[in-house]
Amino acid sequence: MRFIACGASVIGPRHLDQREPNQDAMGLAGWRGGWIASVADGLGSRAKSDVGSRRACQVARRTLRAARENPDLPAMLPSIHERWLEAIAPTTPRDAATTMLLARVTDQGDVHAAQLGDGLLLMRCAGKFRRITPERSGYSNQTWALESVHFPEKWSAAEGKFSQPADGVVLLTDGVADDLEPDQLAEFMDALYQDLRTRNRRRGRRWLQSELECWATPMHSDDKTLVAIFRTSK
Amino acid sequence: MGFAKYQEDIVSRYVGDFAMRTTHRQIAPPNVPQPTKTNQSDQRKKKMSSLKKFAVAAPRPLPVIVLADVSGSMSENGKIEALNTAMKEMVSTFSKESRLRAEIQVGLITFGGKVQMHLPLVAVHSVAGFADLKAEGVTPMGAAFDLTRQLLEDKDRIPSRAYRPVLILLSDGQPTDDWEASFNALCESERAQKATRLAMAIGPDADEAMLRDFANDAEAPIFKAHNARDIHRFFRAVTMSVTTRTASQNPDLPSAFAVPPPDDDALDLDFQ
Repeated sequence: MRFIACGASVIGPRHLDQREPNQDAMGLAGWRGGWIASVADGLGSRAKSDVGSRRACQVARRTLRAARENPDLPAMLPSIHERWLEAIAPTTPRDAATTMLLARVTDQGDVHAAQLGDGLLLMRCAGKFRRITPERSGYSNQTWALESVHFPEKWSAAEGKFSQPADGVVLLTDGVADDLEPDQLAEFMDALYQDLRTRNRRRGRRWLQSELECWATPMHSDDKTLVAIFRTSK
Repeated sequence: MGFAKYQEDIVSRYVGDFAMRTTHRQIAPPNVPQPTKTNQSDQRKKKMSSLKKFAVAAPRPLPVIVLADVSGSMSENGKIEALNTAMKEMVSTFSKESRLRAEIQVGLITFGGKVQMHLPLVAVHSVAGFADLKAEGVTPMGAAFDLTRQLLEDKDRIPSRAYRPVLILLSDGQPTDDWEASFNALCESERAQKATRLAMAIGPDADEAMLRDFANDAEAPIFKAHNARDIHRFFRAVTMSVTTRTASQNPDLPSAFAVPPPDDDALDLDFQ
């Protein structure tokens, strides 16, 4: 089975103006013929959220790499949280608070994904589009995040199988997710697939980066991160 | 070839080239079709990469909703005039603010005799002006809370991508309707409870206990206006706080709410 996997993270205009680091982080790594992906968005109000988001992506990769063939992802979440707490030390969980989205795709196309907090987790399995992220009940930037306590009920998790070309999973931080037309997410995923399948990974990353840097929504300010994995072969 | 010869060669080549070009007749550009309105949008679509089509075209809003008491008692001691001027000043300052990372929207709900949306929630730069408030009737504050809650819960008018709204309540007297149930509904409803709430008590007859319960911003305890100048000072503080938020790292965080000191030169009578 063949996949195209691509991701980019760009610093937002607000952080550029203030000469602050990118508080988003992403991880995308090949794994036994499949892929492991993660994105994290450090809370803007916290002092070390860039550290928290980077560590979250590292922990996601390490944990998912060591997991068994068919993992029970919800059962693994407490250990991911514990490892994150260890990884951020000596920074306090409050200072390093971050959202987290992670996914693992095996070489057979089995996908497991989970999300805590803002952002968007999109999945297409057997040609059927699914939005895994629940609808937001409040306003922008009011989110649950990895902090000192693990709240299992605040996580969303999903699994499926990529059985045909164009099946895939997309992870977005809220810098992109909040500025997408909510009723066109399936079309957005289609367009992403159509563009990425014509490019190799390096060109795909450059294209994604330029798309995110020249984002069309007026007054956009947040850091933006997107990772996508699609099945390309029949 | 010596250096002098080399340099001469360069000079003659480029000077000659330049001279030749100036003597050339200007060639008319090929007949390019002028873009019309329809093919302009087609061209834009073609040039636009595939992802930008899915980006929302409107900036993220930051709603500021003022609940103003315009009951009969507000006509005394120039309160309503001060409120009119202060509101207009605030709208004008918002619309001139250029260092924004959000679109400030302003809405004005008045309660005096009846409750009405005096200024619908719209982007502040599109507010051309609004009719002066007139003070008359009783104080149906509960009905104003209901209207505010409906507005805040409406995802079409305030989308989920909006920054946390700011509610500003100002009153000079006791509510005359059953306000408690409406107030609790506002404070407990899913989206409305997440708004930042500021309050100003105008004059000595205001229900300070209720206004204190309304205010939920730890940085901004209830403000007491003793005279018309205080109303201006409060609105200046609101303006500064909101504009600081839109330019700050996280517009959802409450910014310092500092009421500017009174102007010592101005003379003003206290509200009785």
